[in-house]
Amino acid sequence: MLMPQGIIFLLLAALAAGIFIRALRHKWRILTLGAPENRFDQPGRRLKNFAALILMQGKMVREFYGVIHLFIFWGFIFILLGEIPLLLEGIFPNFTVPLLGDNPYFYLIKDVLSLLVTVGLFVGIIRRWVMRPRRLYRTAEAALVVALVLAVIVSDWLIGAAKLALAGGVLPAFRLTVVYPLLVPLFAGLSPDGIAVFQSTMWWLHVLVFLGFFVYIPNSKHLHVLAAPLNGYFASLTPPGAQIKPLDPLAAAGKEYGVGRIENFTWKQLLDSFACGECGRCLEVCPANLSGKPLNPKQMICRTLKEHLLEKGEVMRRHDLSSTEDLSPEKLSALLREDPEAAVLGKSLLGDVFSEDALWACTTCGACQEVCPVSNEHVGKIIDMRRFAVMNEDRYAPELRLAFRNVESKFNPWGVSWSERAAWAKQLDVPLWKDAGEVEYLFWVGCAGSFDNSAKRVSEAVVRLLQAAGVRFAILGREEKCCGDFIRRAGNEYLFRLMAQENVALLNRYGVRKIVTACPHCLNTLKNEYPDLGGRFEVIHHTQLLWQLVKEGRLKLRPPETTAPARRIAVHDSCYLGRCQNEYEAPRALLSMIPGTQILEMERRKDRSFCCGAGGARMWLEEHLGERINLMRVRQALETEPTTIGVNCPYCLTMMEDGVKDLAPDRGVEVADPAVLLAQLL
Amino acid sequence: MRIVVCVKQVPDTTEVKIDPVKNTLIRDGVPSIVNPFDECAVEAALRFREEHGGRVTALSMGPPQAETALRKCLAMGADAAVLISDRAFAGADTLATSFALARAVAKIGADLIFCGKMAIDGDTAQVGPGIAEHLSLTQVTNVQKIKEVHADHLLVERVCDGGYELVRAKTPALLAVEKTVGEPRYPSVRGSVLAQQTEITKWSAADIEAPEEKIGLNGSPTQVMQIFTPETQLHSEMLEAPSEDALCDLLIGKLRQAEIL
Repeated sequence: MLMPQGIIFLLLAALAAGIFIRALRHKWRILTLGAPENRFDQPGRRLKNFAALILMQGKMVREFYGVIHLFIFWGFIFILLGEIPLLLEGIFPNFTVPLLGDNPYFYLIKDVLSLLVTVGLFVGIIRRWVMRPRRLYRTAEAALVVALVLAVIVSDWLIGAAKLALAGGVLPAFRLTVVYPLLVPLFAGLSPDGIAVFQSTMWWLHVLVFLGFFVYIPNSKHLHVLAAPLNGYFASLTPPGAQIKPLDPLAAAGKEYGVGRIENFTWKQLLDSFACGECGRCLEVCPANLSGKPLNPKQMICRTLKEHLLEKGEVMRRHDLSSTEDLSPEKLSALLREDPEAAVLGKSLLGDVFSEDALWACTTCGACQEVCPVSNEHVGKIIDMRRFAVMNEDRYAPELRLAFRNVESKFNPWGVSWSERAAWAKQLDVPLWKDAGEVEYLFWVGCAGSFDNSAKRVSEAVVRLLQAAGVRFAILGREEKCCGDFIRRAGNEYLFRLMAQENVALLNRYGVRKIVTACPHCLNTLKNEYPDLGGRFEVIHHTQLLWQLVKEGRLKLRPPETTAPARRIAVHDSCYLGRCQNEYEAPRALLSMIPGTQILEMERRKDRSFCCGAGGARMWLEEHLGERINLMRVRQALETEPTTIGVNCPYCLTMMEDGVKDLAPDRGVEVADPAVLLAQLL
Repeated sequence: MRIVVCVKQVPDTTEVKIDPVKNTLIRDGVPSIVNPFDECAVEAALRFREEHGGRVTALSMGPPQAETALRKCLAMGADAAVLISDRAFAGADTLATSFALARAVAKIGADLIFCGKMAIDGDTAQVGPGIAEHLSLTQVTNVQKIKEVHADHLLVERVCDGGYELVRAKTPALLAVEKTVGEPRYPSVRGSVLAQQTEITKWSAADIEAPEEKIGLNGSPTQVMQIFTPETQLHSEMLEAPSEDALCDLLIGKLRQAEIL
């Protein structure tokens, strides 16, 4: 039989549920404005991701504060479970929820977690408001959430303690708990009636706080608790270098290219904004941001794009618009007359909402995605907006235009004559593929390896090492063309496809299967991006092949006759061999082979490595804003007091060499690829 | 204003080598490009259109694959493109080529014709002037700038040794331009895509009513017999003498001996 308080509770709960569902529906309607994207395939792998990223908090626990989040996450789940007996027993005093209400182990876990959550919240408070790290926002919203969670926990403790006190200090279900018994003495001297009144008051307070929190979630940044688990499930299953969406400019001729309005992002891209927990890890690793450029990956996701989405999405739904692409100026001014808020419909995503300086600051290094605990995909959004700027608006830096033009006419961004592409190999007796006969590997030289002086020395070293190891290989010579890496990351999918399709056609015609390259950018594009265009090759980096040859005993090096002075090599991991290919060992192993070498590790290394500043087409753009990224990285390397900086990418080679020339011209620090150093030992 | 730009598809000769054995251009794997001077002519035509209005038609004579060159012009912003292509045109020299192009220009109808000053493969600089002659039009070669546009004439700058001439040219006229007329624009992606999807008008010799005896090999009073690298003979000799005066005497003696002095 329901007591009047039960009826009141049910009415309140129904109200809260109504508000909750309404708010969720609103968010759902905004989210579904996004473009379609299939993230429903491979449920097995997705569930595994979900378990690793969400249940185990895989990326969270990589840092101390993340461990606290692990407690908060699981604490939250057990506190939620605890609400079931707590609320039901409040309405039906004689009812015990099976498995939970009478289970001492459940209460033990919940008790421990509640304690850990409380401790964690206080650590969080100190960190956020006393230590004040740059990556966290100190908003009223954050404070309110902390207060609500604490109120839920504390009121639960008091209710439980009162219950225990009423039972004379002994309750089988609570026999393993710590906090409830500790609080029982608070009720000493109170009559059972007094305790019961206190318990009931606390219970109502708890109900109000809990329902309030419940209602607050979908309307606050704490939508994160609902969206992040979804984001974990829908996380990209492709490696980070393969996440750029294909686009055929010819097939999509009638449509707007790229993303120039928020609703043209896919629903998954929009979900990222809801999933963001505002932890700011991305901010701490972003080379563009750390060098003082206007790109702030965190702000982009959880403020700039999210606020615009909510504002515009709301207005679009109000006026029953599913897209603003065909919204004529006349229609817009008609809408504006009846609804002044419709002005948001006329805002351009690029320029009015997100700045072009921020857009072009990204090096596509992928550090933000690597650390993001909720699997947000920052880089794809940047590329989509660049596509809009370049392909739709024809608005981009003149130096980039020159690089495009060079690729189109000379097939390399340097603008050197294409007929000189194999000039570096003239003295080396390297066969061209078309004359080579039976060979195992194609050595894909890349534009840098063909035209840049430092990178050409790497190409020569690779050739000499492969020849010494007896590997049968050939190059394409003048037939090789720019792979398109920087073009694609600059948003020019048209020119990218032009280059890529010609390369794929040639490689397929020649029946190329295995490719080795000294450029991680070429490596990523050939391996991860050509399959979409019909080119499937086994592609590896020269350091991977050389290390394999060493292990097989095929590559033998002669120890130097004189004892060389000890080398201190600071290892710089390139983004595209590191984060994109997950290869950190081969370059280190090769460098260690040089006699007298000491490997030095920088603070930012391996998957946390700091970009040289040249990725994502930045190689071909002037760096007008903020500090130069290559100087920052060289400074980080110099802190380890190296004699050599070991690199494994031609872009890094250029950037680090330039940085050393600027910062330490007299220290004699050499920037070198492992191949160059090893070739000296042949 | 009806504007026609004449363009030629040429091998990228900055990269072309001559086969020492066969004495022919090595075209194997050499990409074709729009003749760079013609690209500037397209640029000039587009700039003219942007300031004074009109419609730009790109015109080319060549094999079917010359379509690619026309698509480049369309990508840059030309409104239409016409390719005259026919086996009957084969073997044409500059006279027959300019005749056929003139017929096509007449069929399109033009108030202003732009050409590059010459093509980088043949280097003759004759086809532009030839077209003007066949159509009895005013022609100005080596144009670097259109200064003024009037109802019945243009004022243009024409490059000459040590400076430029200001030329008043009655319209309709043909202008053969220098590269200094303007850096060709890099086509937008939209433009390039649109160019891929634009229909190119193709005319045969019959379509332009070109009599057989005036086109191709039949209409060509000149023929290329052979392409070869001219032989250059370099002899070098180091002169040595104990003093400067002796060295000078030695040098003068040598030059007299070689009948240079």
